[in-house]
Amino acid sequence: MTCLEFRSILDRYVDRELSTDEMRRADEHLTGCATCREELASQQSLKQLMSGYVPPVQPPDDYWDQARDRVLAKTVLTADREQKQTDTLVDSHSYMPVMRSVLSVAASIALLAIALVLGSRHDRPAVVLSNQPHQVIVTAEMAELLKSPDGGPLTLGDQRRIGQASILMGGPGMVGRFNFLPGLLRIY
Amino acid sequence: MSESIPALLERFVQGDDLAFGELMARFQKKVYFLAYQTLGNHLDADEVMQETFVRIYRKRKELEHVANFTSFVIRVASNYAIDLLRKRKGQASTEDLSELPSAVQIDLSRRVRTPGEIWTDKHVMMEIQKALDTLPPRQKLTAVLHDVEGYSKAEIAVMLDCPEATVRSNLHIARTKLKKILAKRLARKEQ
Ligand SMILES: [Zn+2]
Repeated sequence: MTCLEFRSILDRYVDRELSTDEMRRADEHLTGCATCREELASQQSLKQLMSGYVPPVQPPDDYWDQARDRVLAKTVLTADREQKQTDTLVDSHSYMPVMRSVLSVAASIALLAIALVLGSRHDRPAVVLSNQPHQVIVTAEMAELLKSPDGGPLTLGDQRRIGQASILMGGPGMVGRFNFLPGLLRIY
Repeated sequence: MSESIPALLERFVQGDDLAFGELMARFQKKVYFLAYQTLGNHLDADEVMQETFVRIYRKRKELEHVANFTSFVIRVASNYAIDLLRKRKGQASTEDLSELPSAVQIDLSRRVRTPGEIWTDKHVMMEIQKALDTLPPRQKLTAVLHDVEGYSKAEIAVMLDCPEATVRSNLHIARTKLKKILAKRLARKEQ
């Protein structure tokens, strides 16, 4: 075995992945080659050093529970609230449809105007995301934030999850759902 | 007896949120420390940890077909950590221990014996972390998963979604670089 050959199997040597035959030939080479012995020693001590590595800093003990609560707030608890919202909206759906649609037209236009005005600041146009069945009007910056983390299209589930406080309005055929996103309010 | 991972997983897939909380409790440290080793600071590690579980919650339906939950968790976490590193322009920002907030404790109980050793170890660990920070994301993750966490090359190939040959070459390059950076430390060790 040459030095070059030995170097090419050094990783496998250290990770104990060589066959008995390969191992024997490697050891033969090592007996006669101080340079490769040194190389092996440094590779082995690196592996040993790494195996004992623990991050030098650890969060305080109560961090773990708090972090878990925050995740639950973003997932489980949000899903519950969505369910409740949906239930309420379905219940009210049968009442006073005419009155509701008149009010909601006015409100929808007002909100659209607000969204457009807010959105037009800082050269960020408002965009309409229409991943049916509801339309969500958000500023471009919010659209950026709302983008599904996986890079795919924004699903209705994503919209619901992120929209912490949302209002559903409008009669048949009207623009329906507006999300008051905390981020939107914070930006301006 | 605590419930097995597959049992918890099954309950979670069927919509049991308590099972989700329990799974998170079992895996959050693993994810946090992997993220810390990759990104080098608490805030980013915290973000990766939380986002990993938010994503897993959303992927609940896919989990039915997942053979190895640990690999799945690490895969989700690695993907996000790599994204975040790219956003940070490949630069991990390792915390300077002297600037740590007081709430952050130093706990190296696994290896600590005397105050003198605590000091030495803390510095050894910082040296390793800084050396790791010089590696590109995939090399760094491969080195950490293999040499620190002890996963096999086949497991890492699944976690990082790449051929085993890539794991081998990334590991090789990572070790070569680490050896160079940590040369002084390694020489001291050999004596
Ligand atoms: Zn040689």
